[in-house]
Amino acid sequence: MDCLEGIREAIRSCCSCDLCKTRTQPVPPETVGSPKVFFVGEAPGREEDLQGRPFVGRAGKLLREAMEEAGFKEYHITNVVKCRPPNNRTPKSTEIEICKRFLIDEVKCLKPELLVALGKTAMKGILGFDVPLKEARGKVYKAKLGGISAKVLVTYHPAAVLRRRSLKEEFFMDIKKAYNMIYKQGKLF
Amino acid sequence: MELTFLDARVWKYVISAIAKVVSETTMKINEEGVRIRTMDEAKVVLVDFFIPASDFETYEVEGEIEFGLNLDDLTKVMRRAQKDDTLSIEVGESSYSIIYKGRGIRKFTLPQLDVASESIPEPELEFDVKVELTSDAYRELVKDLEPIADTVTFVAEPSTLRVEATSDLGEAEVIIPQDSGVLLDYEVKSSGEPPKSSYGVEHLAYISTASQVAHKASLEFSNEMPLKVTFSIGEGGWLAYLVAPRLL
Repeated sequence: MDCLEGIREAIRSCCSCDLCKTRTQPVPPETVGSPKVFFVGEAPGREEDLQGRPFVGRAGKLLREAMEEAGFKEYHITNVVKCRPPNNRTPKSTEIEICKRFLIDEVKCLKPELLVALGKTAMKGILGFDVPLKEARGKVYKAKLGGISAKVLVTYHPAAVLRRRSLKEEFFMDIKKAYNMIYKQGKLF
Repeated sequence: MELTFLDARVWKYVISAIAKVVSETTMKINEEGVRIRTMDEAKVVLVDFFIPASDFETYEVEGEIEFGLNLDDLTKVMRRAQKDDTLSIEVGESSYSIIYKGRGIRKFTLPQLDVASESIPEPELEFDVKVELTSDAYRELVKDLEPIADTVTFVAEPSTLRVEATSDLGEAEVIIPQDSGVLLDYEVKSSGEPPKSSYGVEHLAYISTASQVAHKASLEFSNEMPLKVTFSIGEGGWLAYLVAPRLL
């Protein structure tokens, strides 16, 4: 898609915040097929920063395993912040605000039906509100990004699932829920 | 035009339940009553809310008015409804007001949205199963199943309603025999295989928000067909959700 290539190019050449000084390279989104679902993480980690691809480290493997088990063949994987923060710290609000324009452009370009917010930073970046993740997890919210309405399903970040294996079943259930919501859901008309 | 409804809480819960499905819609007020009929963008849930003129304390309406609402903003105003408040609606040229009268008079004025009137066709559906239960029992049913799975399957056996949810996390099964006292009414027309249909639990949960102000819930479905959940409100009003099935 032309619009997506333009976004990737803009991300690669972006130096709108200080993260561009410490990153190895920015990490543009990865798109497979004509996705109706976005998986949105926080920011690239060490492995993503080195490879220039989102979710390729241990957390990424877990996410991709859950996506495959659910049945996803088409998807868009991205982050609210496209450059790795130093020492994997949580992105600052200003960094999220500056970088959010890319996510908005991605939504305008692909018009997804559902965004899966992986973790609290993604939830805050997409929905703009800050509630405890355990309250929001598994719930579906409405969002409007760039004038496009989409549903948002909140779940854990896969890195949190690696740290606490007891979250794995809920995480896999949420990813399956995302699949069922879009690919198994009938329409009224 | 003058409309006053005795229990503002009804509107608080109903508008909150509708706002879970859509952000913008229109409200139609005419001599018969007040109606909101709308559908989500994905065409999965159709909402139909109606309060007849006779359920209002004061209802003086001539002709018909239809205006656009931002439901997210209206929900914030509706949250301010207190116990014992009455609710009045005033409609101006480009705005509308919600007025609570209880301990003092509180008036909130919101802009009307420029939203086109929705022309939603009436689905022609015949349901093989009709179940009636209290709205509290419906809410508890959804609460039992919601933590376990995203999809809920209803199976209407001859004298038992079985509701199942299965996921990696576990399984939940709720069995409600016809004579258990939970079901107020139970009718199954089909004589062959028990009608069975699955729905997204989040769609079933949307309407639960309004269970506090409804006295009865009815569920109607057929095999792999939409589910109609209707909450009876007041003497002649309703909040109904038609939900498309999940095809597993």
